[in-house]
Amino acid sequence: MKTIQNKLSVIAALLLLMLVSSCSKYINLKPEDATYDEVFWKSGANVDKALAGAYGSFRSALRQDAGYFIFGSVPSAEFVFSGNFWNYQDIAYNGNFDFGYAPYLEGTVWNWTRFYAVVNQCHLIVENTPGIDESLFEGGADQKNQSLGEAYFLRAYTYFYMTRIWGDPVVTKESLKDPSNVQPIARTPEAEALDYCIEDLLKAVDLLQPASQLEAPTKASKGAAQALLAQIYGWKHDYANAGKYAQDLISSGEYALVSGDHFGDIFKGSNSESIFEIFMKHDDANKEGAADFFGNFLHSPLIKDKDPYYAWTPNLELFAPIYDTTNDLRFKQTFGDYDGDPYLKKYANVNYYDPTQKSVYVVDNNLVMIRLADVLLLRAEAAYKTGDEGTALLYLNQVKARAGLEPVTISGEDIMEELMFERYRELYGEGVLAYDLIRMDKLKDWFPDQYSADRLAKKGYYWPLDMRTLLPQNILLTQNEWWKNH
Amino acid sequence: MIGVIRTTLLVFFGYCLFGITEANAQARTVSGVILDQKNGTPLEGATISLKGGGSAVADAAGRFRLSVPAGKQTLVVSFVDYDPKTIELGAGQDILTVRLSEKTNKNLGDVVVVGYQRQSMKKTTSSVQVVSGKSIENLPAPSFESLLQGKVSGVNIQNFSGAPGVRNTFTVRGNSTIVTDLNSNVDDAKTLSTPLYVIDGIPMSISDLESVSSTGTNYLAGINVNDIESIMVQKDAAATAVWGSRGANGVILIKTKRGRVGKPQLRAGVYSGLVEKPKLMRTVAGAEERAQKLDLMRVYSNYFQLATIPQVLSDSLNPAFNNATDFQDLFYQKGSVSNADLSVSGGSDQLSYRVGMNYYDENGIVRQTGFKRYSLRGNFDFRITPKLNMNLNLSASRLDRKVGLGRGRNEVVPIDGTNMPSSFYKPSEADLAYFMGSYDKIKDKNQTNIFNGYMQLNYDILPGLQYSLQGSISATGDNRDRFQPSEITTDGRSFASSEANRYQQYYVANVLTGSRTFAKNHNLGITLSQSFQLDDKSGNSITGYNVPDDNIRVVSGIPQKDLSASSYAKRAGLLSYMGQFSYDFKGKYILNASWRADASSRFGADSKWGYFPAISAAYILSDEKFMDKISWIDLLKLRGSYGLSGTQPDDFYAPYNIWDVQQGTYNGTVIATPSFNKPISLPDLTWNKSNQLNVGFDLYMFKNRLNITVDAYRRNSLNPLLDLPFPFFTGYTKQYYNAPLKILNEGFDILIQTRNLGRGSKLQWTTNLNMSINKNRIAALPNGNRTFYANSYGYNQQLIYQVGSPIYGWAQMKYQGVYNNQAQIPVNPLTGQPISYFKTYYPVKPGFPIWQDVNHDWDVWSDEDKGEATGDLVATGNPNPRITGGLYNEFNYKNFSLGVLCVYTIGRDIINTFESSQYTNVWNYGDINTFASHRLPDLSKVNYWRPDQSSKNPNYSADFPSLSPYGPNYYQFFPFSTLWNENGSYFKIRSLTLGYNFDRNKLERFKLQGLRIYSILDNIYVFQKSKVPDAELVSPQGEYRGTAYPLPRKYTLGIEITL
Repeated sequence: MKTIQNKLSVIAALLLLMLVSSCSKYINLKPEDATYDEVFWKSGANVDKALAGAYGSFRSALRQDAGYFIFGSVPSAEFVFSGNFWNYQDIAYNGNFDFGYAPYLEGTVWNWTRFYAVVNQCHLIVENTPGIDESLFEGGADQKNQSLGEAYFLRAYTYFYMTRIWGDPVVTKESLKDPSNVQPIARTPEAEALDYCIEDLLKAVDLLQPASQLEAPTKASKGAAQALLAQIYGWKHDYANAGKYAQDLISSGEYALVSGDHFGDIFKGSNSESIFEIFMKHDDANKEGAADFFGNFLHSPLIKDKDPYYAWTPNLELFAPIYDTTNDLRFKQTFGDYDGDPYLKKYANVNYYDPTQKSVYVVDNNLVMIRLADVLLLRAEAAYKTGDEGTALLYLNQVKARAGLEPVTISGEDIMEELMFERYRELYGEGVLAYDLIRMDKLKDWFPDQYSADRLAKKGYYWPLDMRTLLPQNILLTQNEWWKNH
Repeated sequence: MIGVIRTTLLVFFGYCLFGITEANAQARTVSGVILDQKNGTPLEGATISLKGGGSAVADAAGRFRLSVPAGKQTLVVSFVDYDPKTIELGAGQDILTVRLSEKTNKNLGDVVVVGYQRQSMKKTTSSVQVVSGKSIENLPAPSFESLLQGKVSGVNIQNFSGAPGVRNTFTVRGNSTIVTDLNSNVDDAKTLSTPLYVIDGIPMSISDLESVSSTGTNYLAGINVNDIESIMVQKDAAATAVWGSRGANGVILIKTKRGRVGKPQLRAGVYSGLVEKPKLMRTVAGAEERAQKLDLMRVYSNYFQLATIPQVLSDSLNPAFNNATDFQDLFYQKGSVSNADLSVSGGSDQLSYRVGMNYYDENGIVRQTGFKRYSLRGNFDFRITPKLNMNLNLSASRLDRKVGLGRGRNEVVPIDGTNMPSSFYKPSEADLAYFMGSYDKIKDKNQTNIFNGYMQLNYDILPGLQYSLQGSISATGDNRDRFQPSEITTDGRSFASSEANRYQQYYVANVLTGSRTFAKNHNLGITLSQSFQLDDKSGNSITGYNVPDDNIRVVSGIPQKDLSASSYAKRAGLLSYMGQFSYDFKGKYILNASWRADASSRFGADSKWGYFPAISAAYILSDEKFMDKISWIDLLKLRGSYGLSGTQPDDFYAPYNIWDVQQGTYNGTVIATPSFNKPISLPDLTWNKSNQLNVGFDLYMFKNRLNITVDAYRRNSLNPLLDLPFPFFTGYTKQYYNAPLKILNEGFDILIQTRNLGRGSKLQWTTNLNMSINKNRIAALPNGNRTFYANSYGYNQQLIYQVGSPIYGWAQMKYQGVYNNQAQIPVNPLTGQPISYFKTYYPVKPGFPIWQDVNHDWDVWSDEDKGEATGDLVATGNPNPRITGGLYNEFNYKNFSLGVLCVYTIGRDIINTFESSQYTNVWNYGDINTFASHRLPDLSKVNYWRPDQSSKNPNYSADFPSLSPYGPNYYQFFPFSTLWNENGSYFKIRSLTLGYNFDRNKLERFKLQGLRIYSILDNIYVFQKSKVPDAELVSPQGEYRGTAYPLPRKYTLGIEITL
């Protein structure tokens, strides 16, 4: 008996000692089914994934409630809404663009949080990529530079995008370092924010590869950075610089207009005219395509059993007259018509990818955000504003010629008016015209009932912010002037 | 840190060994058992002591071993509330059986276990309450915790769902959990804090265990109710601090039945009964529904609107539309419940054992729901040598749960209550088959298997010094296999899935317990322990669409693109050191202290260790000489305690910022972003601190005819781990951190036990009244106490978090009746315009509800778009009950016994969001066809504002706003006004138990030791003000959603035989 007891006490004592020494490793357990901050930034391949994350977040930010078109095309009266879209009616033309009433859309149109996820992601890439040795990138130094350039580009694009929608953004210049000590930040004046974008883009222009070196325009290229610089300078009304960068892009020879007969194919993506686009095409494995973004524009019979009541309708009552419907090659490729129900045809590449699932479709298009025709028209605008009417007409007529139209010879303010019309004819339903109206100062002429002098003075073309949600997070945040009491 | 503690421990151990070894050099050994005189129950914790020094404590089987010097000796055997016995030990005698008889005072006999120390109820300094297994035996419920309702003070149990095998809320001394996103598919039971369960010595975190559950089955339902010996509820910090980083929300200790020394005993019990189909809300059906709808249309329409009457309403002869189907009725049925138990127990000096088997089967009152349990448990106590003994507990159970045909976690029926079709329709054959659950092609198999093994080795190093090694392994496997054929899925694709989750827990502890009496009157006890726990969970899930053939009901042969699969693996470790110290002088002045250190892998790198001290004291005033004169006081004890305890994060890798790589691809490249679902967290993330102060007294009077225990407490939960809205410009929407937030729970626990008739009376009547009064409020908030809002479940009313308000309190506009006529509508003197609703969109007209214009801007709305913080919202309802409790009466007359349990909740606001959505459907977005084809609430007793009445009678007064299917609609029936708030207080006759014990003498003829028959009625009647079917059947946030599983009435009949 005694021996058993002794043995047992020895065993127990050993067990105790073993436990004490081996336990400490179990209180420092690391995740084994996930990657995390401390181990992520170790290879070029992970930078690619982080970039995919930035583009992907940007894509979801634009897709949310089809916000890209709500911001870019609804305030320019391009669409009218049926009772199914009763909550869109106030923000549209017939509701006098009252952005202050958007039931069920508040999270999209009054809240910019999702864009800051993109910004933070770009911050992380910009901060962590330089520390990774170029040998860890498949394409060496070039790829490392390209990655860095893409992050600069996307950060600039995101801030510029927010600025055009809500005015002065809150600008952060680095990723979150100490979450326990986050100080409130006031909004940065628009001009200062845009300068920050320009700073980023100038770096990006040097770092990025020309389009011909890249597989597809779904990643930023040197040309994309040039185009965006031109747009930002345009927005600042610095037309000398806007013209300069637009011209740089045109002279680079990297891009060419597609023929008028294939105008409609531009929106399938990856063509000579497309400068920057967001990937949304469908493939079986990854299912990146979606139904509910472009699908908003489509109805039966293109989409089975979908009544036109459930689609956004192009405002042809207002805009059909601006087209030369017989000669303009763009008209028939922009608008479709089924039994008197018109629809926007630019993104109509409908695909029923799953034969067993008859009710589920995807629209197999990319979202083309910047293309050559847009830059040509901006070049024309810049030329006119800097007093060079000849160059202005040259590029305006180049766009007209592609559409199968005769050149025009006009002068003075008529050129600006014609450029606005041309933009509508060319870029209808592409989510950009709302900003063109603001930049070209056409709101007061085109929509005088909706835009009083007071509303324009108080920048009532910007959208309100959801103060109930956002103010508690940042006590220095202020509401946009016009929406303080409208 | 570890090094220091290790050294300290070794030094201490060495000291004890050395010091005490010296004193007892030459000893012989006496061993034996200490039993209850009357029924032979082993008296765990009884002390046998040698006159002149040295003592031993009896173990769970009543056995002891004591070293005594050679020769004749005098031993004193004592145990709290038993009469002490003096034994003269012969020179050669070394085996003893001692029988003690009970004092008249019974309650104090219970032994309570605080941490790793045993204390008598009399000497304990903490606030604990013991519920004996007897009092919940045979009650028809799958798990014990809901049966504690109304029995324990300081505990609030609300059975918000009657679904068999589902966990309900169980909070000890108020809630300190905040779930900021109630719409993230979180289980209702998890939105309130949950105590730590310690089952036969193994600490089990229910929220950890349930994190792997794909079935939603209550883990605690794996324990057979009839296997439970006792349940101890520990409430104050003196008891909970010993459990360190997990004890903040109370600790529930469950002890299962063990074998007794004596000849084998076989016990068999069976009960079985009916579960009543619930009473349903009245549905207006057929012609009555048609009349109501047409009336609404006639009253509110204009000439043109009346031109379009939907065919469903106009074509009353069409067989497709002339039915009177009550769709609710299709889902409910009569249920049944049955239970069978068999146990064998017995024991000798070397081995005692109890083996129990159980089968429980409940057929739910909602079709396709039910719960089955098969369980097996064996508890063994071995005495290997006089100094060495071992306990072994093995248990296994299988739980099968049918979850019903509902879609979401909180839904049990296939049609959402708010979208029920009109009674005009006749459900199709296929619909019926599906609703009735007779659809044999559908499969949903939920199975949980639980295995537990626990071993404890006790070695008496010296008298009064014991070492014990405890170890356990628990494994829980959870499986869900589903199949739905193509004809019933909404998208026409067949669906199959298979999910498996595993949870394994390893636990080991070294415990050294020493106790000694110095100079006769000074009693000292010290316990040191070191423990380690590893939690390991993993699982996988495979899902596929387009199964090739409906006869294949598993994931097989599915095209690659329709398949998806994932798996996970997570581990968490917890290392703890603990010391407990107890001292008393003459058992009168008592001081206890404890200290625990926890290091958890769930905390950040810089904050691995948490320390939890506690101190408590008691003073037994009634033992003082001067109190002897007051003979009617049997016991008066004053108690006080203060200590810290905590809560661990649910997330095993809380301090790591995980990257999310499951968001698909961008142009074929995998997307990686910091996880926005798991918000950013901090390296110094640590336990959620909570300190608690408790003062109380126990007063036993008139020979224990009237016993009162009262406790007052204040628990302060600091820096809870929360995901709170985070500044948008950081890119993160939420941050998971120790938010600088303070939650106060203050209140009283009152327990009154009386024996209403004299000891000599043939009829015995005892009453137990308990009451828990709690006030829950937020004392500090982040960002300089800035108020914030959150969404309620289903985005109904706003939840407001502000200093002074309770958790989950509501912010609403105040509804104050109806504007009956134009004259009552206030007019803005500046503009001449009437007051308006909804940002000036709706100028108020007669028939509109009266909403209070709190901010005096002549428009009533929440104004969330303006810079204003609240608009016209004010803090209104509080779903946290103010007072909960129970009243239990037991009558014994000869062999008959009758127990009646009532439970009550007072001072709770509830909100009828179900009715709200039904009324909202009247307008139904202005679509008269949708109005016609959906269920209508019963309007026969509602005095809603009607224009036809108003025009006839200038003094017309309605009780309810205008109810027009044609609008205007400014969300007036949404619960964001107080229109649907109700008083949620209730008093419920919960259960009635009638039993008859056959006479022992008469049974002997049949060689039986006992025979009892009984009948139980459960959930009998509820008194309430609210209009909801059952005021208890609302969510923890106080919402009646109409989709909850009703609490059914059960009738059972049972028999119990002991051989």
